[in-house]
Amino acid sequence: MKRSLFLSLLLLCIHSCKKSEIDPTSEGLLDLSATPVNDWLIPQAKVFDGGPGIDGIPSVDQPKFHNPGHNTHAYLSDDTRVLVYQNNNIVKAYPHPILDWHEIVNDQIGEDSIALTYCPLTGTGIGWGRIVNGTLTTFGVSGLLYESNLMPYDRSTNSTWSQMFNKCVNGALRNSAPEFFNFVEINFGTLKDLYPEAEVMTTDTGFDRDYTRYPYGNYLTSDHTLFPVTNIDDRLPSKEIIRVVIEEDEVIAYQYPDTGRQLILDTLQGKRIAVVGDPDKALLQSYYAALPRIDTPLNFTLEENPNSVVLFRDQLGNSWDMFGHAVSGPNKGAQLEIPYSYMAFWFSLHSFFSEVKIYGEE
Amino acid sequence: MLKTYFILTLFNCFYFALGQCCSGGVPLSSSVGLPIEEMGTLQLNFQYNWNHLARLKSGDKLLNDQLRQRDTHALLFASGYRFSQRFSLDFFGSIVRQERQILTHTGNRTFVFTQGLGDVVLLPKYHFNKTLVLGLGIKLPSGRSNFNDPNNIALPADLQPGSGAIDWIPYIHYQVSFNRRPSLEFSTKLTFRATGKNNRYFNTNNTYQFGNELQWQGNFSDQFIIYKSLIDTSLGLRFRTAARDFFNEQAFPGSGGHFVFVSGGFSLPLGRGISWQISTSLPVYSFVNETQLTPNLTFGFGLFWRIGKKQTFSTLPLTSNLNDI
Repeated sequence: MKRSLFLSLLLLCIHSCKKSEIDPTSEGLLDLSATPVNDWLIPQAKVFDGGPGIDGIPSVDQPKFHNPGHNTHAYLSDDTRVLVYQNNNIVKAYPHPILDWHEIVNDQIGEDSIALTYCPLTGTGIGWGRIVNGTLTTFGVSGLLYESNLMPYDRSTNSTWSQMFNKCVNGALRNSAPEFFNFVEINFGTLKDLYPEAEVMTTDTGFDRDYTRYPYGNYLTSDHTLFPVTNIDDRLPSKEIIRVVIEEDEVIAYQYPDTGRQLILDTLQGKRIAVVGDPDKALLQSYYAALPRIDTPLNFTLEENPNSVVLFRDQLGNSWDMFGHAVSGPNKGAQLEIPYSYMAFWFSLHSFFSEVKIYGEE
Repeated sequence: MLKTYFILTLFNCFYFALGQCCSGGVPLSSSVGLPIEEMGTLQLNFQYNWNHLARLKSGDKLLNDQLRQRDTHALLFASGYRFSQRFSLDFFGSIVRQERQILTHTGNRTFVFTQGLGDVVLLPKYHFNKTLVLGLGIKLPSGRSNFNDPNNIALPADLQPGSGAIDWIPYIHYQVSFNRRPSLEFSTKLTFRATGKNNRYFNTNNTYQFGNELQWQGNFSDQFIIYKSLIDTSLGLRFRTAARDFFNEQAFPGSGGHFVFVSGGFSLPLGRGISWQISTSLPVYSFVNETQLTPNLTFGFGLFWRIGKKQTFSTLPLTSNLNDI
């Protein structure tokens, strides 16, 4: 009896060990190492495994939507931030509490195939085109971090990308840059008031997550990071949310006004930039202050009614909304171009950009 | 003949384990504390442990998610010697294999593992009397904590076989038998792990610190004769509470929580002083910070050898568990 029991256990041990030993060459095993290991566009030693692994944070590839008043959004408060995209008559919003858990949403918005990439550690939400090298793809979360920032991978070539570096950094598409799609960040209350017909992504993501719980503990309120970053700049609190505008080599951070609404007209690399800040709406958005194509300089003034869809007007009589869309006036239907810009936590900029100016700082 | 057979089996098991499985572990401190024995007694234990984590929980809510799975296989070597009426010393060493598997929603599968020597624990103990022992252990970072994946990407702390830190482990052990039934024994252990920092986390100048941990175990054991063999059985409870890990000054999300396990096992004597044992531990309650994978099952078996003046079929506390992540 002793012998048979012991042998049974030994067999169990062998069985369990074999079961856990997975052949890495077996079919279906996803490997992001299709290219040489040292083929990185960024210092590989600064790329870290964040813990969850490839697709351990699952992207949402079939998002579902309801308008803001629907019961499914009852968990969202008026202050909850959402990232919003407009394409003609379609307005789609993606709540931060969902993005915190999934980081990437692959969606089709009108004719635009977009992956909304959002890094909860750097607060950066950037839209990327999903047509890469002529092929429609989806992006997933690689589980890797570079300077504490999201590294998506594309599912057509398994190449690894860096969100804030804004390039493919390893793999077949190395050095490719994604097409930029601008998302406007506002709070849910503003969305409800101004765009009650908007489509808001629901928690019906296909995954069981508690979207009422923030997954990163006290991260938002602390001054520290969760992964190594190369440079720290203490001119502003590390988690202050700013809008960074990148115009060639010039990088400027714009802050929310302390009180009230504010419209800034600035010039970067000879280009006129307008930045509108409204803390009540959580809005901090940038635009080129010129009519597209004909390049007529525009002088904007804020719309007096803060509850209007119109955000500002120009000297030509046009009224513009937060998406930079002319809703009335002689150029009705025109779309202002948006400089490459996005919202971010202040700390995240200094490891990606050698010099970051703060607007208004001497 | 029987002895030769089991020695061969033991070496086979080791050979196998080293080649394909693994052993030992970062959370080694949770299994410290060999039984209280008489002066001059040497105790040796070889144990295989498997800790399987696949239940994703948010707080105390179990989520319907089967994407991720973590396994720790460990081969533990433990030895203890009582030098005098008052003093004894335990040593724990390990070899560890950490595995992470993800079955993605897109139908792919990813698998990463590390394996190597784990940390070691030295536990000097002071015997107040026959039933009460106090100790202060130290866990030394003998295990590697800077493994990279096959693509040369640095892996996180919980996928490393070593912690890279020195921990201190205060320890209290109380063990008593009952007059009416001398074979019935109650044993309780309280262990605290005051964790140190790994100052070279990710091969950088950043630090990582596992959360401090308090663990209580209480179990009853008794002996029965079944099929002419004397079987040691054990049943107990284990409570573990762990604070959050820290990356530099930042509390690391998805770490720390409270866990309660029911543990049980049995042990079968093989000869003079040698026995083999099997134990398992099942979670009955857990509350985790944020969202974490929690254990489905821990399972272990091994050989225990007691060499002393008084030859009995002593066994390890069957509810000890090596791997608590």
